[in-house]
Amino acid sequence: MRLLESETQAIDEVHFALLARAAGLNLSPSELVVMRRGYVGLQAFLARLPERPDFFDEPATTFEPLDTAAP
Amino acid sequence: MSYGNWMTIAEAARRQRDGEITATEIVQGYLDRIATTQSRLHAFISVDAERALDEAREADVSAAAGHWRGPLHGIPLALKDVIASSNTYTTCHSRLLLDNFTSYDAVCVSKLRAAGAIILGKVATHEFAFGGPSHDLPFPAARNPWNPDRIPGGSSSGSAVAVAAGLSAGALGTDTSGSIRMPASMCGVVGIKPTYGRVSRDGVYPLSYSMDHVGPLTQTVADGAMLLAAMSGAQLSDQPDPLGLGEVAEAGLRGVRVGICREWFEGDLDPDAARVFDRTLDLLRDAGATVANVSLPPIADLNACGRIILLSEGFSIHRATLSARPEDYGQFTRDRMRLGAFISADHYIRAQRMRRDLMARMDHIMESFDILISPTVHGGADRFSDSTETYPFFARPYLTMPFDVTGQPAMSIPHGVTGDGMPLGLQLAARTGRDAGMLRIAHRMEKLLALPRRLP
Repeated sequence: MRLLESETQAIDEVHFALLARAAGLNLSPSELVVMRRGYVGLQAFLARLPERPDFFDEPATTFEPLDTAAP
Repeated sequence: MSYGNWMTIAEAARRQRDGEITATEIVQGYLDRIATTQSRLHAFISVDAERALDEAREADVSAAAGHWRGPLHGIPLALKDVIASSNTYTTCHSRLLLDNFTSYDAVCVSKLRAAGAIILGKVATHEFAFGGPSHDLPFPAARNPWNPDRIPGGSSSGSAVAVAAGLSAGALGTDTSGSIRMPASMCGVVGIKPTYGRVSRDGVYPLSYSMDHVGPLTQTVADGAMLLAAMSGAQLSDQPDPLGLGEVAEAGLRGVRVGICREWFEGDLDPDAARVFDRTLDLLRDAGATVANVSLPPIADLNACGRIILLSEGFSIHRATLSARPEDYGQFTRDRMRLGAFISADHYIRAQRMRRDLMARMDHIMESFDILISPTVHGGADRFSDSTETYPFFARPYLTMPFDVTGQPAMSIPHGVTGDGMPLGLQLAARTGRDAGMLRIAHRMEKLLALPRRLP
C-alpha cells in the first residue's frame, strides 16, 4: 500500500511528537513545528558521526596501562 | 568623549605614565560616551560608574606616589554578562538570572584587576551566550555601531560594540563556536580566542564545558596581547609589550608559511568578502609570505562534531530550568537548546571521539604551516530583519567552529569593508599552544593591511 504524501507527513509529525515526549519535552503545537525543522537538521549532523571503531584496532595510546607512571 | 581622546590601551597606558592624562579622565571619557550612545546601541546591561570612578581616582593617587599596579593601570574594560564580577549582577542577558547578584570576580577578572584594569560594567550578549539576536529578552539586543539596523554578531555582541564604538578600551567575550571572532569581524575590531584552557573559566557561566573559551576584544592586536597576557597568568611585569610585539613590528612576513582554508569557503563567500580576501592574499604574497591552499578535514564534519557536543552539554546545563521555567527563556535559546534532548549518550561519545581525531589531524597539518587563514564570516553583518532563523547553524557551516572543536588559538582582525561600509574580518589560527606566535603574525598583518583606525 502506498501512502499519500500528506499521510507520510502526518505520520512523521506524530512520530516527532512522540519522540519529543519521550525526550522529556512538553511542546506546544507551534513549538513542535519549529523544533521538527531543527530535528531534521540535527539528523544530518548526527549522520556525520563515525561509527564506533573496532576497539582492537585502536591506537595503544587510547588505553594506557595504569602502571605506566610507576617508577 | 571627544574622538581626540579615543586611544588604544597601549596609548592610554603610555600617556598616563607620561603624565598627559589621568585614569579619572580616561574613565570619565568612556562613561560620557556610553551615556550618549546607550539608547541607540544598547551595548551595556549595567554600568557601575561610581565604582569605576572611585577606582580611577585611587589609581591616580597610586600613580602620583610612583606605584603602578601593572600594565593595565587605569585601563577601563567591559565584561560580557556571562562573566562574574564582584558586587554586581551577572544576568547572562536572561530573565532567569535577573536577580543573580555575584559577590566575587571570575578568575580572569581578578587577574585583570591585579594588572590595574578598571571594570566599567557588563555588556550585552546573546542569552546564555547562545540565543540571539533576540527581541524577547529583558534587555534589548546590542546594535552594530556601523549601522544600527545591522546585527553586531554574537554572542559577544555588546563586547564588540563597546570596543568598536569607543565605549570601552577593551572587553572580554567568550567563544564556543565563534562568539568572539564573529562579532569582532562584523564590528571591525580584533577578537582573540586563545588555546583551550589558557584562560580560566572559573566564574564564567558555561555553555559547553568542552569548547568554551574566554578571550579579549580590542582595537589592536597589541592591545589584545596585553589583555591576554594579563588574563592567562603569564608573568606580569611593568612591560607594556609582554609578548614582544614591538620587536617584530618591522620584521615583515618573509618566509611565514600561510595556509588558506579554501576548501571551507570556496564558492560560498559574499562577493565583497571574496574581493577583500583576495586583496589580502596579494598583500601577503607581496610581503614575502609563502601562501598555499591546505587540505583540511571537511568543514561540515567539524561543524557537526562541534554542534553535537555544544547542544549536548548546553542541554545538560539547562535541562532542569528548561523544564521548570521554559517561558522565561527567549524563544531562540529555548528552541535551540532543546535540540540536545534528541542527542543520545552514544552520539555524544562518538562526537567526542571524532573531536579527538580531528584535533590530531589538524595538529599534523599545522606541522607544515605557521598560520591558517580564512574569512572570519562569509560576509558583512546581516540586517536584524534578516536574522530570524531559529537554526542558522544548520544552513551554513561556521568558519569559526573548527578551532573551537580543536582548541587551537584563533582570532579575527579587520581586513576591509563591504561596498556599503560594513567591516570584514580575517580569521587566523595557529597550532595549539602557539598563541604568542599567532599574535606576532597577526600584528605584522595588521601593519601590512594598514587600515585606518576610525570610530563609527
